[in-house]
Amino acid sequence: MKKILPIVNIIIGALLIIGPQTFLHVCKGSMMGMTPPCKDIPTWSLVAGIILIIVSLAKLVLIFTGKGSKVAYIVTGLAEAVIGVVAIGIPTFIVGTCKSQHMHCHMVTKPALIIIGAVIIITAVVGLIVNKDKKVE
Amino acid sequence: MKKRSIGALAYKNIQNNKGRYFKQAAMVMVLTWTMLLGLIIIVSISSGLERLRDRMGADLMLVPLGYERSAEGILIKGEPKYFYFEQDIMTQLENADIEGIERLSSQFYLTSSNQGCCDIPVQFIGLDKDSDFTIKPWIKTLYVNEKDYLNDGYIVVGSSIDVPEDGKIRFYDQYFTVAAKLDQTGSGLDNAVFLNRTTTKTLYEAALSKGFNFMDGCDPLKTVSSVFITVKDGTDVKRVSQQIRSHIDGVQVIATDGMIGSTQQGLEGFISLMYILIGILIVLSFVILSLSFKLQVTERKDDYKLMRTIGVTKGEIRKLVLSQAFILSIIGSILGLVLATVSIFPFYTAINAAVSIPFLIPSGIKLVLLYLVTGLIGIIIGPLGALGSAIRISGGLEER
Amino acid sequence: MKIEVNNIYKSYHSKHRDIDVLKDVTFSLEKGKFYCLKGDSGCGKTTLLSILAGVIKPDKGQVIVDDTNLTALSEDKRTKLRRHTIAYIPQAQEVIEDLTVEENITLVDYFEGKKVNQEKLEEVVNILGINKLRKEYPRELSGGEARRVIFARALYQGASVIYADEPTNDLDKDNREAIASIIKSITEKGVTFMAATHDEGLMCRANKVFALQ
Repeated sequence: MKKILPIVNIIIGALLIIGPQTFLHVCKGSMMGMTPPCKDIPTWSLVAGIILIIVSLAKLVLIFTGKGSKVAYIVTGLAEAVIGVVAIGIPTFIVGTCKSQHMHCHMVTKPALIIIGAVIIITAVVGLIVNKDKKVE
Repeated sequence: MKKRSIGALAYKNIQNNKGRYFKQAAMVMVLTWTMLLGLIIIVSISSGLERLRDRMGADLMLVPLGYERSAEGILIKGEPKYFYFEQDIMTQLENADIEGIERLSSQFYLTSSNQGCCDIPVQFIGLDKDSDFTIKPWIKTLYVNEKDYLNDGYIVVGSSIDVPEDGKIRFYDQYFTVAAKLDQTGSGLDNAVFLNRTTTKTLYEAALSKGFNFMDGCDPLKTVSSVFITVKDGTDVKRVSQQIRSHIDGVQVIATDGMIGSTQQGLEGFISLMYILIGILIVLSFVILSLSFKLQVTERKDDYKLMRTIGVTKGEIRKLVLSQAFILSIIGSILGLVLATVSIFPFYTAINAAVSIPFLIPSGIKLVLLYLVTGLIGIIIGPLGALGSAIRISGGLEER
Repeated sequence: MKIEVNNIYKSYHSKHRDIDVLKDVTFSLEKGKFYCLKGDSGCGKTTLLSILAGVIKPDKGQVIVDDTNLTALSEDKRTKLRRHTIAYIPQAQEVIEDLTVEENITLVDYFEGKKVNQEKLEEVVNILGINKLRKEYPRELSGGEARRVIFARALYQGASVIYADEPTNDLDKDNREAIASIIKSITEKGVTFMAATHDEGLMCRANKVFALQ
């Protein structure tokens, strides 16, 4: 379980990077001179995905070298949880989406990012629970 | 210290050996996930068709000859379209004096644009306020007085259309006040905007000014796209339909029951297949779980023998095995129900846009029942699958 | 506690032959005494212990435990007697790998819906010298330690009589000595102990040795 969670997060990080650039795309182009509100979602997702992958790789290094202290696991776990909140925030309170229910960013990108964010938070919490017995150094 | 129990021992066994027990929980999770998803899809399709049938309100629909598919597109698939009768159909119907007609109401179709002058792409349906019977019974939210909802400058929107905070939506650079919102149908009507003839003319002229010409020389106050007809009680709809065809040329007469009925027929096979697949999945799950529990119980045979030796009765052993199965089933069921919820509800709008059939997700008691039935099957299938093994292992432990 | 074994007969029937394992076995056991049962392999030691513990019934004869005819009881009642009065430790009995030492010892509490009797548990782990192993899992124990856990469970359950089949089997000399001492101290507390065994060292500590021919 301890090794699986960071690997899951690496895959989710890749999804955050690739998704909004492909099948989770936002509204394209400009609409008669008006920029769609969802334009910056792919950039934010890209950054969040990269940070998540870095944090997960760091966690894997801690696990495989056996040098991870309890503090290190707590810090990485909290970092993951924050990234999860950011992923949920990107289509909601950070960037936002187009108003119409039928725009792709609203129909597909938003729910997908919310679910991805929720999964990241869950893996962070599970990771914190699974590592709670680590001795404090 | 808490009291110990067989349930607590069962839970402890699972906790200390997650790898061994994960497979069973996963099987139940897959079963409930797939089952709930399948049932929601089946009920959504059936509900969508039923609701559309009720919403039509009419027995017959007249459209210009050759435009039956377009009419279906508007009503069932939500594809914005426009078409018009070349003749003055209402006068022709009046002159034909066809027996059995109770009510008549005409509609005029326009579409909005994907360009920046419109907030959203929709189907416009111009109505005759005095004769219309298709939308009033379906008003869900009223923003003005009831008698004013189809006044000049007002629009009534389908359930999928978001109403901005200021209550105004822009089409062809003209702002229109939202007077009411309709109940959901899961069909194309959810993307429609309804307005009276005068407002339609305002809209038409606004579209013209933006370079959109729907029909040369068309008068939105008089031009008709379709006519909805209800027949008197006891009248044969087919006979009325034949009479219309014999008196008026260039008209397609659609029995609304037939239009929905043919869609429904086409889907019946799909729905039956879904039920069969669900049935097969339940049986398969039971078989796989039974085999899995049998293996697992055999693996732990020595532990159960030990328990019998120290004074645990056959019934208590059975209870232990079934408790383990029950706990795993509960975990699997909850996970499966959560996954199904997350799979369908956040993406409902996308699914509705992607399927070309009425799709109305159940709510209220119907939805609760679906969850209950699925959850119940998920919870009992584990213990059922483990029952044979529980009986076998509790009995076969006596020494020679 | 007084145990009387009267005229026990037991045969096994297979396809090809009948085997008379026990024929007219009669003896009695007294409270707080240590007994050994010896005999060649296949002479019926395990069968006799199983009958005494109520796991199987004899073809003929009775086992009377303090005025109760064990052999006349139903299977469930005999099973329940093994929960507190009688303890049976078959040969090569293990402990449950998924439970800690403490949970193994107090296993019966799960089935009785009771809280752990901490006082009794303390007493028992101290007698067996396994206090430090309470939170360990069986995979971390040696053979001798695992054997002590099994005895601890029997004592925790309040057994008045313990039947053990080859209790020092597979143990080294030191552990055999240790088990023999533990058996002695258990009997000094009033528990009757009967061991089927080939271990001469154990036999010479017994109050009486029965020989099965």
